[in-house]
Amino acid sequence: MDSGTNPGARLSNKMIQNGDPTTDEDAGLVSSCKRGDLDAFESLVRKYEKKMLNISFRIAGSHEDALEIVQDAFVSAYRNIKNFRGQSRFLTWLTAITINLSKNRLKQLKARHCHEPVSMDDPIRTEDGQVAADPPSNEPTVLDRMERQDVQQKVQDCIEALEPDFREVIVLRDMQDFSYDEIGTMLKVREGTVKSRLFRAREDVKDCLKRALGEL
Amino acid sequence: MKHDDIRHMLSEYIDGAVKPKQKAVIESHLKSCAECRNALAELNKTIEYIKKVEEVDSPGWMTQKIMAKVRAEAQQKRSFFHRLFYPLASKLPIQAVAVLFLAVTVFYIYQNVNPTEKYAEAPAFIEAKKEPPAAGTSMNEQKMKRDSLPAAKQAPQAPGYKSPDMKYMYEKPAVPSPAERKPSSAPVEERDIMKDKDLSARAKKPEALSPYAGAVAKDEARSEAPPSAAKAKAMSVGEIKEAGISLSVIVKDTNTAGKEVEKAVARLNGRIIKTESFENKKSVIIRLSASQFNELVRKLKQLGEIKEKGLASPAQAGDVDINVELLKSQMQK
Repeated sequence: MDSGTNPGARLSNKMIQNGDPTTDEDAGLVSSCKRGDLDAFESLVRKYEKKMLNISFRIAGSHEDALEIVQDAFVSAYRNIKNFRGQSRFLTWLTAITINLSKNRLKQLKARHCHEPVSMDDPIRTEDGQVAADPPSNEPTVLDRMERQDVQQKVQDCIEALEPDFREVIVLRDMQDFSYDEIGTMLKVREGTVKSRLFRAREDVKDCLKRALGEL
Repeated sequence: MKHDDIRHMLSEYIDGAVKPKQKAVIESHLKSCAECRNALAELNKTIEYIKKVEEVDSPGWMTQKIMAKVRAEAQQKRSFFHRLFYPLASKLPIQAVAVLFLAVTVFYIYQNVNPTEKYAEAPAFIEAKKEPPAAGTSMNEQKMKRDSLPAAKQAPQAPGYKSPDMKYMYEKPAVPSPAERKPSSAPVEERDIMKDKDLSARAKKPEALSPYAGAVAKDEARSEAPPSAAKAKAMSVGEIKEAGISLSVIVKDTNTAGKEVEKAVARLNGRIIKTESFENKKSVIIRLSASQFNELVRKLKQLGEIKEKGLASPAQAGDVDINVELLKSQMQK
């Protein structure tokens, strides 16, 4: 696959891969939903809620946020399902909604952290109100924390350490097995961009894991 | 392809996303490049670690919570369509209230506006009444006019009825030019006759319409007029108000005199608008050219003594309405 193909050819290619409703296993349920069948929609919820939760959790980084994001994503999907024209699989469309909401949540969190006043001198308080012991040693870096966690958590931390644009491609490709083409559709970027982002994301995670685990 | 290019394509190569030609080149390079082989192995290991990350489970309540939100959304949508396309369910009470309000408003406006419209088309006959009295108007005639106003004021009105006097009381008298009055004279005559009939009918049954009619008669009696004459006056209040000029002629026989008046009016190219006969009195309303007024007075003098006179001579040109009352001579004794 060449990232340099012209957009028209790429689009028609995408239509072949993602646009044929007969290839979408959810086409029947989606049609029922468009007619107002709530049971059909519930079937889709049951089928995809776990997948969406994992995508959202890996991108947003917070389980609580991910739960809310998934609920909002399904409500948004129901609200707009009549506008869904079947140019991609329903799953691709639903994932795009979830990713957008997750990215928006990330932006909100970043903005909130930027505006929160932080005092360098205030003692750290634990949940029961006690002053936590402030280690005089090094600042707890990602690597320091990773040493105390198991491998899975280290992998998760390495993924979280990526920039959002790189994080989402690695989540979609290596965790959720979407094709390059589908990832491009979801993120509204060219396939070449997906490839380059994925290469860099994998390299960064590899380096991170090497630091965390010693060797792969 | 250079080493660096191949190094960058390893990620795609793992996913099988390279063209067959590229694949062959990469595989050939890997055989000879230990660094790239090592990089490929590390990449494979990294992907393996990533894929091994366990998925989080969605909580059991998740589906129900999502569906509750979706159902609320659907209900909201349905309500919107309900409002738009099912008017009987939700719009009927609103429409009923709106129609009721409209009906009440229209009724209220009709009650208030209708009399105004009636007076807006004031007949020429009434317009003549509004003219200020000429210099020669007798005191008696003026008194009759004054008396008529309080009587009209005091008399309670039937529902929907508005006294025409109200207009005269508040409106500034206007003297229309003959040219203005002429075009409206023909249709107005019919209305005048109808109105006069209405007024006379009302005058015939004063008790039925006005409990204060007796009080009017009482006032008249206080002015030392005989009771029958007072009654006649009270009955003809309407006519006197309507007439531009009023004359009373004392005659021996009202019927004979009435016929003579009719002949004289016919000769003077006038017109009898209305004739009313009472026990000792006959009332004739005449429409006559103002130029013929003196001739009519001369004729009336031949019939008997002219007792009252509203206007010595009409000031304006054109037609005037004259109320001639023929009183039987015995009444005055």
